[in-house]
Amino acid sequence: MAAEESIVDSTDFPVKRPRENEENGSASTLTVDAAAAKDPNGISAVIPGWFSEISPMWPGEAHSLKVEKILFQEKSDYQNVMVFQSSTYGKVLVLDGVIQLTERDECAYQEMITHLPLCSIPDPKKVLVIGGGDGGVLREVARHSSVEKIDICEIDKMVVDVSKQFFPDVAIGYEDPRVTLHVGDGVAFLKAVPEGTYDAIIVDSSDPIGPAQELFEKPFFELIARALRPGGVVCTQAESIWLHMHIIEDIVANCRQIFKGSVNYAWTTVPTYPSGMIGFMLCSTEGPAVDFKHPVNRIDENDQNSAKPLKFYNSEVMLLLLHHAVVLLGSVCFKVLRRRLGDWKTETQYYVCWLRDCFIQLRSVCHLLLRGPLVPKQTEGIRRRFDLARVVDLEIRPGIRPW
Amino acid sequence: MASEVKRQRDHEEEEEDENGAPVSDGIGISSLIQGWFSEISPMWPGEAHSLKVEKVLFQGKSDYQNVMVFQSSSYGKVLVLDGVIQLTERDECAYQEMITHLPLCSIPNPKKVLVIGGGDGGVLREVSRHSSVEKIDICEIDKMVVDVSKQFFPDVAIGFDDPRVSLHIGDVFYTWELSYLMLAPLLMVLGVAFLKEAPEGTYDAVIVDSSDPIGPAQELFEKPFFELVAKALRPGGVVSTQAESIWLHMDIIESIVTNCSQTFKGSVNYAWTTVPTYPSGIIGFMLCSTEGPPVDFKHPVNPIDEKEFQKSVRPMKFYNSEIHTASFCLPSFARRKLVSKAK
Repeated sequence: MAAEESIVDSTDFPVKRPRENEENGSASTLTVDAAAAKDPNGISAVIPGWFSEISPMWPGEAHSLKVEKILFQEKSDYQNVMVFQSSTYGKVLVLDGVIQLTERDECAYQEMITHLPLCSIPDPKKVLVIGGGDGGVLREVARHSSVEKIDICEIDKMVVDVSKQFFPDVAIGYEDPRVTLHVGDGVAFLKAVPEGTYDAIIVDSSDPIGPAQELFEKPFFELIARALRPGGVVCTQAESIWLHMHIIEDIVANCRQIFKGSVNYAWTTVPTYPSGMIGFMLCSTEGPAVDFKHPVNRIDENDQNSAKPLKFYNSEVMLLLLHHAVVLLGSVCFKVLRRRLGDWKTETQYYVCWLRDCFIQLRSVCHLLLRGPLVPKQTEGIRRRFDLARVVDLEIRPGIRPW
Repeated sequence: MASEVKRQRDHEEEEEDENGAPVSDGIGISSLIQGWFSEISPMWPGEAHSLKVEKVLFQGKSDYQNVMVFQSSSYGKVLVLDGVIQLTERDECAYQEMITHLPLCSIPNPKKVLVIGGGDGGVLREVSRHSSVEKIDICEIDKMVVDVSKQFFPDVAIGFDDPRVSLHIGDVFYTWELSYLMLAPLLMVLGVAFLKEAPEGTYDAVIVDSSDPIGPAQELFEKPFFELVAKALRPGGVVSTQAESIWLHMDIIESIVTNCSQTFKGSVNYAWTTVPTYPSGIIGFMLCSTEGPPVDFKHPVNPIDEKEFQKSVRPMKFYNSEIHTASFCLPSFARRKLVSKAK
């Protein structure tokens, strides 16, 4: 259901029923002037080439991205799904005219919504993700080696398929063997789950207008509290303080009544979300105390699982191997070039360099096999993109280059 | 609202630039959606933030830039210079409070403060909250910005009403105090008798509230300017400059950090804050101190939220000590590029 056309009648939003027929408002706007109308996904027909995110949830403002090409545009049972290639933000996933993720800045949201809760409790084992059909949260949860079981409950199968097809770096989360996908309603799933099952629940939802509406209401939080073990944590997407203070106040009030442990609000920067930021509710159930502001389970020190040395996402090992593959490739190319140019001296030098690179790669592979993955101390230059635990220390001594 | 947006277009008035986006619609402002203002710029290619325009209040051209003020439907009045949003009534508090209190709360008892740029007066309003300040000099290049702000943004331009404020219109390189400092070494070289030694920098804090490096503020991002500022500061004095966004301009920020680390021998830090109407939703600040008494920006020694010196100015909406410390936390991709590898 297109956000900007459904403001006509706010009672018209289905909660979780599949859509029944076309939006009531769209017919009237399309007849005004064929050239002046926008389609339900926000691609302006008048100004070719830009997508504008207009919604009654943020009246009077809109973020626009230049569109290179629309890759996918279809209606699922629950929402309009669109994927386009933007000129400066990579591929963009849009649901009901609202940007969900772009390749350029999705890291901010996915990493924060996952690691804020998971790094606050020791050894999380069972994690539930509600929503998050794109798989980015799964990718981040999978970094925690203590996790044994990851359940994901997504209502819309099309989001999962689209993500696997167009966002392989995000949907890579599904390839982890610990992941079990359940396609269906989150509320129904939680009702069926035994009490106290999960260490952490992450609610990666869209906005409260649309299929995710019930994920912002009190009955849902009660189900979450029931599904968490004592001292378990929940992290939900909680809008922007610039735009939706009233929604946030309601969520905070609900959470304070339901969650007897800690209740906190955090936020982070995501350029393509309205107002450039997004917030998170972080709550824990009664039980072992959880201090969200001081993470006890730091990921950058113990993020390698010795039982699985070769993880497939951005791990230190993959970066190292990739680096060496590139170097090898480069030196081979150069070798071929030099042979053509007939310079034997340079050719020898490059043979030597090539051998050296072979040895480096061999050494790291042996290291990997014999001792397990490199610990972060040895890979100083390769870091996670978001480090929660460290207050940045930017003291730059004069005379030393900062990088 | 959907029907308001989809008014019929008058195609004769539409002009397009090479992006395929119109550069002006019927009311003469750049727009992707009719009746909206869109902030399109080569500094942030492929994206644009748009605000719905109720009414254009002012549109003029000064000696340096295009100045426009319009009433938006959800962000109050908006000041636009050369097509780039400078401030909106709704979220200006974030920027003004952070750029001012990050430096001023890091040193005890600041007395003399210099503001470069900031012709809207918002920084002055925030500086005047500090009762220890005795003298506030502001050097703004464009008189039109000052006049427009006094006329359309009274809650922002209230900063000019403080008696400690002296306004100098002109290029910072030629204001009387700074040019005096620049001339002093030259005169020394010439052996002029009445100058025994170069006067020490007199300012406790310099705040550079500039626009972007394309336009009249270009020189404010270059090394000679930072050297001038370092000379104007007393030992252990602090400077705070607008330093772009880590999502968009890492290359500019890296060069600013290089320049600052060579020029300022005390601390050099980068902080950022959220401002919804700036591109990418955030803006950053360089915070540097000159050699002398050490300054630890992350732990403010002169906290302001405990002392309510409000006077006639409205209470602070954004700044507090926690967000002061938190603003130095950087995402890993930025930290990697800005932190010394020697650590």
